Parts: sequence; C-alpha cells; structure tokens
Amino acid sequence: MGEVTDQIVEVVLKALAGGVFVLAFAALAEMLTPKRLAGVFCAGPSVALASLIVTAGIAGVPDVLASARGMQIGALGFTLYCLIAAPLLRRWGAWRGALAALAVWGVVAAAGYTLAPQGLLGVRPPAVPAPLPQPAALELPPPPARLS
Amino acid sequence: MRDWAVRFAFGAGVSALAGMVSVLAGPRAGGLFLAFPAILLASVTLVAKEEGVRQAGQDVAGATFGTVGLIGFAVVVALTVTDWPLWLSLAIATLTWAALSLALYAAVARLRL
Repeated sequence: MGEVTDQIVEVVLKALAGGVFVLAFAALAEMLTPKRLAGVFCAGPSVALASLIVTAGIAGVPDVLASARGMQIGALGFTLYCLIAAPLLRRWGAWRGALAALAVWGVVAAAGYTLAPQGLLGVRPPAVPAPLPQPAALELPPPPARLS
Repeated sequence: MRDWAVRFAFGAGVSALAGMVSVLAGPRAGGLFLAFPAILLASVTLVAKEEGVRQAGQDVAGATFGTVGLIGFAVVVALTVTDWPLWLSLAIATLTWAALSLALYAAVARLRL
C-alpha cells in the first residue's frame, strides 16, 4: 500500500512540475517572433527537466540515466514527427495532420526501444579491463652436464 | 487565459503519462515520453485556430530544430549524470539544447536569405 501511494505521489508531482515547466517555456515562446523561432520552444526540454528532477529526488540517478537513454529514442521520433507533420498539416488540416504524424513517433519509439537498449550512442558504463593472463611457468630441461 | 490552461493541461498530462509508463514499464520506457510531441500538438491546434494552418506549419518547422536539440539534451544527460551533480548535468544539457536548436535555426534562416 505504501509503495503504491509513493508511486501515485511521484506521478502527481511529475504532472504538476511538468505543467509549470511547460508554462515557463510557453511564456518564453510568446515573447519571440517570428513564429518559427517560437516553435523551437514547443520542442523545449520542459517536460524532461520536470520529470528528471522529480525522478532524481525520488528514485535516484540510475533511473535518470535510464530515462535519458529512453528520451534519446523519443527525441529522434519527435524529429521525424515534425518532418512528416509539416506536409500533413497542409494536406489534412491541423488536428488530423498532427494526430496522423503521431504514428511515426510511435513506430520510431517502439523500434528504438527494442533495438537500442543503451540509447542512440550505445553509452555503456566504463568496462573494467580483465586481468592479464599470467604466463605459465616455464619448465626448462636441466642444463647439459659439463664434459670437462 | 484558456490557452494557458490548455498548455498546462497538456504539460501535466504528458508528464503524468511519462510517470505512469515509468512506474509500470521502467524508467527507460518512461523516458520515451519525455520527448512526446504533446506540447507541439497543443500549440499547433491553438495556433491553427487563431492564426491559420500556415502559421501552425511555421510552428512545426521551428519545432524541428528544437527536437534536434532535445536529442543533444538527452545525450548530454546520459553522458554526465552519473559523474556530475544533477543540477550541473541538467544545466549543461539545457544549454546544449538551446545552442543546437538556435544554431540550426540560424543556419537554415541564413540559407533561405
């Protein structure tokens, strides 16, 4: 019961923090023109910052690392989403075009999650070098006896 | 005022979604949703309603630069968070996002002139 409560608290904290950070980035975007530059802030790390801070406080750094690896895949999907969404908006309108392009994000996320467990760069913890094998003790034949 | 409520709701919603996925399937799966296009979706529909689909398309074009920055953000966090203090890792990652996004924006804007 206590663990479930903790998980609910974690999700609620992430939701509140995410909402606040999104508003902060939206306020920055409102101050910017042209619209294309404001659009940069629609792909700002607002949700990521909020979630990673809460994750670090509750679950610790290993979970932040795992989240960042997953986020690399999600961000790649987001890039492809934008490239596909732009023509779809013109063809199908805002809602239908933007929603249809979500399929691209879903495919990239699912494929990347399956195929790239270490993220895009294959970041791994530093490997500990294995100890060098010790040479086997040489068994030399006894020296030849002197004749003189 | 309603626009801000919508943006807050989308931000809270996608953060809650990422949190729930993280609880149910692990932090790596939850991390996927830290770069989910929900905020852009909210912005595009609001801008399209108020200023037309053409302006909404400009929003999406700009967001493309931001998403490249997001990849940089996630890579920097993954590379540094185990060795650096969290605040420093997130600060450098955010600066990386801004530098990559704005440099790409400036480069493309210059090419179009």
